Amino acid sequence: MPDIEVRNVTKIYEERIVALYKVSVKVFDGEYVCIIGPSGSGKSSLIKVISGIIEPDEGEVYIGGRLVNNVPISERGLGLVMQDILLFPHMNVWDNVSYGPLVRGLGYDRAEFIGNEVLRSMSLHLRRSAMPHELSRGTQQKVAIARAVAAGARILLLDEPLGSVDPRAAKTLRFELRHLVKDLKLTALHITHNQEEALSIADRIIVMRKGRVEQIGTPFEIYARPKTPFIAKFIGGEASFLEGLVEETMDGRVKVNLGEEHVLVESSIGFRIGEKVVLGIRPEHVSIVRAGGSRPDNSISGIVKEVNFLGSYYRYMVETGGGNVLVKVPRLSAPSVSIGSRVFLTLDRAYIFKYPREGLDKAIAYE
Amino acid sequence: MPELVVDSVSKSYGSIRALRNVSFRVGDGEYFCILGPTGAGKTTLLKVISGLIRPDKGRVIIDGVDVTDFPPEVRNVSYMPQGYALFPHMTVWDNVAYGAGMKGLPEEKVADALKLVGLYHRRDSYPHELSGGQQQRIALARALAAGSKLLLLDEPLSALDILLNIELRYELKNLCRELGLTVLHVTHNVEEAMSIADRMMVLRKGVVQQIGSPREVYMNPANLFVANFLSEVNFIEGILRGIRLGLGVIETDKLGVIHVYTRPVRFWHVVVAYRPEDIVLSVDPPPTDLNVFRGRVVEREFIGIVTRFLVDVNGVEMHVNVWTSVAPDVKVDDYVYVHLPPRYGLIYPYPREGLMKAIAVE
Repeated sequence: MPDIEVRNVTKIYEERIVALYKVSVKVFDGEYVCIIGPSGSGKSSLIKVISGIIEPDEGEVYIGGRLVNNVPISERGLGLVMQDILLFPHMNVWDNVSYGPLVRGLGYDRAEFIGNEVLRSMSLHLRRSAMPHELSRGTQQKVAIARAVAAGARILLLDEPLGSVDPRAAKTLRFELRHLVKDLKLTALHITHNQEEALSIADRIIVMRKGRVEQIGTPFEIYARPKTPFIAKFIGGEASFLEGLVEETMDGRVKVNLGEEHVLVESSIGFRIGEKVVLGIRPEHVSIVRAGGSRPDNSISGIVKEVNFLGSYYRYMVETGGGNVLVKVPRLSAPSVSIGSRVFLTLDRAYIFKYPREGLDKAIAYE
Repeated sequence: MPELVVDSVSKSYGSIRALRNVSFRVGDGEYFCILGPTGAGKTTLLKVISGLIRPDKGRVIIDGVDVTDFPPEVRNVSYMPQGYALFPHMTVWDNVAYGAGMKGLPEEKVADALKLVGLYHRRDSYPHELSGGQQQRIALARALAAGSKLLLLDEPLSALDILLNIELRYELKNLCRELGLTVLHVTHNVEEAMSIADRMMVLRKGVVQQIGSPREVYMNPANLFVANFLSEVNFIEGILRGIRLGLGVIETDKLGVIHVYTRPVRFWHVVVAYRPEDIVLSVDPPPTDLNVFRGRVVEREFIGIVTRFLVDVNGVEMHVNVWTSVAPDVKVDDYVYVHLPPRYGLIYPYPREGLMKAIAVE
């Protein structure tokens, strides 16, 4: 049984701003699910609908199998943790964490037991006497999570929990967060705009855009099999797009005319001959060699326009007949090419999409 | 022909020494990034150059003219402050025309600047009606409209989503190059600086740590702070027992003896730094005996282009980053070989203040 189920939820503000449109999502018991999407994609609205902060115009929310549309926030059994860390500033760590059990009337002994158990599981027991302002933002956030857990929440709703934490500390904290959820057998729904964080921490990822669910899958599925051009670009940070026409279709492969050149790409869905398509290409899935030797099979030619050194890898911008193609190569295997070099590019993998109705630029825009 | 020289500039606020004897030169048309953590003195430095702050000591020379005593408005410098400082009650057009306390620019210049950033069609909008990326472009247009060839940018991309940041950073660099501007770009974001800087300067607590191209600085960090600030680093402490044919022999506590290529050095208590992408992880033994260890995979983290491994080698936790497409098929708790290629180790004297203090960002 899913711990959280959202069925066909729609929320429209001021009769025209579509925050959520027919969104259906399930989060299973013990699962760690991340929601990612650009600003305004509806991620926060979704969490607010689940927690009861806002009411949906249509659709149902179930928690633990129970319809909760008319259940107040405090009775939904959820722990809500936000980017702005809301600890009681005048209380130390221990008092912050044991406050919930005491308020629930569990008595001092039980509160002490729960508080100790939670603090220990988060390696916070040595800081129990510290005041919030004495802690780093990362540790403050851990305390906020500990407090939610101690208060009895088995389901955590986390809205950018690492958003205000120093990026280095956030990298460590995301491991701790995942381990906490798994060790204590909690269920977590975690919003982030940071796709690296989502890929790292989640069992499954929900990608949202313009109030709709664009794809749901494991981190690797979302990365390796993006459903739309937007996801191809959004997951990974950068991607190139070439427009073309289907020239020929074969068993599981499509020959695409890019204007001056053709490439063969794999495809699991069918296309009509003459159909307009878009190829989405991740920069790390392109091989680059200097032109001059024999031309690799199924390659396109271009001229290097930009070379950027990014430490662990090089980034090349290559101008081809069909448009610019980005290439990323690990530093230790970088080819000897520079600005102006003629090169051949082989697409180790390319995603083929039907040409988007809204136009390519709009289909991949963040804002 | 804007060329900028900052010569021995110091500035203190009470007991806080914001800048200590800072010197550097930026060539005409150069894109120069100033990189450092919060509190490094980056913003103070830009304000000294723009004339908003007078240094206690030192000179600012623009095109051969010592402008240290000149007020901001005659320095011919454009300054884009952090957070954009757009006037919320003014339209886009007026923001650009009346920015930075000016008396109003000719219409033609305002229109040109707005066209450059592709937002002429939004000239009658108010800042709150624009997206974050558009506001950033308006602030840039305002700085550009003044027509100065020396552009100072204080964290111009920091307020943006990471993906928008990536998109706009290259746009920004290309625009400045097309306009032939000399740019000083302040940021705390290492990847941002490395992507677009012709040269960069790393600043810490008001002191210049290193100046060079991104490649020079990344490949040869001047000290442990720079090494650690630019990327995650594995540090191994040890005693340098000798150097044979350029190969340093280093005795370590938990890894036994390791070998690292080094120039002759005058210290023996050392820290060796390895970047995570320079360590080789494999299921089968590598074809060498030097610096090969067995380790247990503690974490495996898929983050897209790269897969990160945390490996426990005799109680030492090592970060290893592998390109996902060639990542070995190993799981948590599997045993793997970890190879530290001798030529990628960077050797530093063990810092007197201790390693943690030497690399601390605050």
